[in-house]
Amino acid sequence: MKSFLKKTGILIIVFTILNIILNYVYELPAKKAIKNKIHKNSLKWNDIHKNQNTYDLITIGASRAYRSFNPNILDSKLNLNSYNMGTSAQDIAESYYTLKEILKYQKPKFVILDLFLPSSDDKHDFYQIYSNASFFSSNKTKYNLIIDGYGATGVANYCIPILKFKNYIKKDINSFFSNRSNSKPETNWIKGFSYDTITVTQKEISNFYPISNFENTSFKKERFNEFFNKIKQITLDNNIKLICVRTPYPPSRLALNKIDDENAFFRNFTKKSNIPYYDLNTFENHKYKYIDSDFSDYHHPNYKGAQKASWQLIEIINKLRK
Amino acid sequence: MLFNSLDFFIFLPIVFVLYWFVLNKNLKVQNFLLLIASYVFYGWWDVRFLSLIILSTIIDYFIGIKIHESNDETKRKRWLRLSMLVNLSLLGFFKYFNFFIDSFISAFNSIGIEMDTFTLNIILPVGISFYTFQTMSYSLDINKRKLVPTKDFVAFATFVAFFPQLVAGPIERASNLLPQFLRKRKFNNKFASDGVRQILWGLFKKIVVADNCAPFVNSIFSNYTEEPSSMLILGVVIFAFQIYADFSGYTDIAIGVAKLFGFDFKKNFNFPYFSKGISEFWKRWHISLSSWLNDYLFTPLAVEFRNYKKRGIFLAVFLTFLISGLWHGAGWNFVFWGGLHGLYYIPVIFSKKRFTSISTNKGSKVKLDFSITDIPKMVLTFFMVCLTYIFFRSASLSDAFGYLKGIFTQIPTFPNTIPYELFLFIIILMATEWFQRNKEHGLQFDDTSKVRPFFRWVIYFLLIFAIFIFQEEQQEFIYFQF
Repeated sequence: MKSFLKKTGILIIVFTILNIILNYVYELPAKKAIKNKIHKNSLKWNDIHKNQNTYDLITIGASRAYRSFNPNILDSKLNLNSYNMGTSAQDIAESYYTLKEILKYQKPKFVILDLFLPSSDDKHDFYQIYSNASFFSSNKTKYNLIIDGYGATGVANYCIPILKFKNYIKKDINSFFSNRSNSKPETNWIKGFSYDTITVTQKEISNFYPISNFENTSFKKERFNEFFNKIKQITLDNNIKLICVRTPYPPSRLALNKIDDENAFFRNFTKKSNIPYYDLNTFENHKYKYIDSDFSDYHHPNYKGAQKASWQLIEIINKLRK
Repeated sequence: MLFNSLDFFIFLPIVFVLYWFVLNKNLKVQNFLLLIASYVFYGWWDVRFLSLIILSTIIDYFIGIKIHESNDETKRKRWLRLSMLVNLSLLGFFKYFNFFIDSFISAFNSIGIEMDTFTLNIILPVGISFYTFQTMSYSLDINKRKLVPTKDFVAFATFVAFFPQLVAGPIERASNLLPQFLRKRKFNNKFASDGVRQILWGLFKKIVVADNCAPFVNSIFSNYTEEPSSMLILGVVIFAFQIYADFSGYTDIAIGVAKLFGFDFKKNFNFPYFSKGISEFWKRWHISLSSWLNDYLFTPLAVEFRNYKKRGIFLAVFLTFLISGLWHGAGWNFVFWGGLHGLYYIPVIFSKKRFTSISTNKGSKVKLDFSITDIPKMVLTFFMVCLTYIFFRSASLSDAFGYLKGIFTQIPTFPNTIPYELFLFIIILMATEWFQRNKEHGLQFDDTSKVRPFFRWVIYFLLIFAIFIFQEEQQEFIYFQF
């Protein structure tokens, strides 16, 4: 028994040491970025915490949100001060806790929530989730995000670095075996909005797969319902107008779906919840017709696409103001 | 709870510590701990399931004693029939009620007699196919006077419900497992360490290989009408490795966990994809089930049909595989799958001098001899098995035929997505199992092994890291649905 326990102990100790090393290696770029004041989440939360009661319109959601709405365009036409608080891989639970943290420092009139089916599925990028949450000033909100938002899986991913960084380790392993470089394209930044001028290539378009639907996504309706209702309640309690949108997809990709489960579900769901919902793929599409070159990849608008999405949002808010 | 879950990761060490450090002085108390742990493990899915397993346990415990005590052959048979009736009724109702009703209604509809659909919302208790077979073999072996029933109820109940093998096997024979509950277990470092290695290997097979194959296979089978024939072939080949890695991975974890508690289970998979013929395949695949069917179904049927000589043997084989198909699932596609395997035995039965068995427990010990000329036989056997997997994996018989038709009629373009990552995992799996083909499992190292301890530890950590990094959306073990 002693020999067995000794081997088990060695296994646990070596595993712990390797995880500590992994944590250091993968957190180092983030720490450098924070020190050099270029870390996006750090900059966002710095603005939210320091410029209290400043922003009238806040966008929340995943990367599709922070790549779609340009605060400069919104501000100039709506006479508001907007901020884009979308973060990478933000899911519905994270959206709720992000909003909860924001509302300790801001009193927005409008909250724009971007929806798509992966916002409540089984796949979570815990590194991105915890990167965002690490800048919450409230430890209680952070704790509730981990426990209530993700349960035991969330705790395991929070505590075990190899789980937290597994997506990045996989990318690094893949790049080792392929010719593709791991470097990200140059992006620009305006009040949380991040954009690039890259256009999706024909080869990428030919490799498009259908957008999320109930067959290819493990959408958790109960979880979505729970956290959506919390977002709805917190906006009602704070006298905020909640507007739900579905940001655009490249039309070639949208055309691969015979039935648009995603739009149908959110349209019906928000109607029952009495929350306005707009699908930017079709809203006023005689004016804002999207083409594939409005996108930098399979689901993120580039600068041109974001212009159209921002104009659409301006029309939506003006419509609701009437 | 699943083996690859956080719940089990917490459950196992607690039970291990209580078992070896707190309650190790008293055998009965130790068995009682295993029984409670097993009921907690099983009840984690649904506490209602416990009522069925407890009922089956109580009935077979008393029937076993009654069969043994009775010297009157008629009375013995009556008790045995009662045991079979209870177990098969449980299985029949919970697993097959809706299937039989649907088939009954479809049959009448096909001859123009319309009937109202009537199905019940029946939950299939996890593991029912496994533990009912285990308890039936107990009664059958007592009746044949191969086994003396135990009067120790706790030991018997633990034998039925023992958590490592409760939900997806291996189906252990009472003659092998029950005596292990009745004697004191001593902790053996080498045995337990080998158990940990086997668990690690099982987790690698399940999490890295099987769970990563699943999304690719699922997308091919759910959209087979739109895939080129090359993708359909690739889909079924990848499924072959998915099901092997999933099921044998589960078994490795089950056997490894049992070793941690000092129990020795029989091997359930003996590297079946290296088989040189269908007869050898079934001596290497799901050995506990195939040997069970051999001993309790094929052999009595073969005796019954002995007057028909080889045709009688074929009939016995064919019926056994039809039942095997039905055991796997309440669907005609599973029955067809079984029947196809039965048909594969035609050349085996009619060419061999004497065909004696489909499988035996000794299949776990069959060594793998190899020469270059065996490669075509291995490849042919593999593809014959892959053909049956189309029926096993498809949602229905019509989908299976549609899939098969698609292989021959849909455009044979080069596959539009090639899962290189999956190929790498499958190559690692098969290469490891090839080099370890005469060992108990892929990660068994003994004193004669040429791999030095330092490199073994490197392999262990690479596997652990692969398990953490490549875990995808958690997939249920395929055999849980049976």
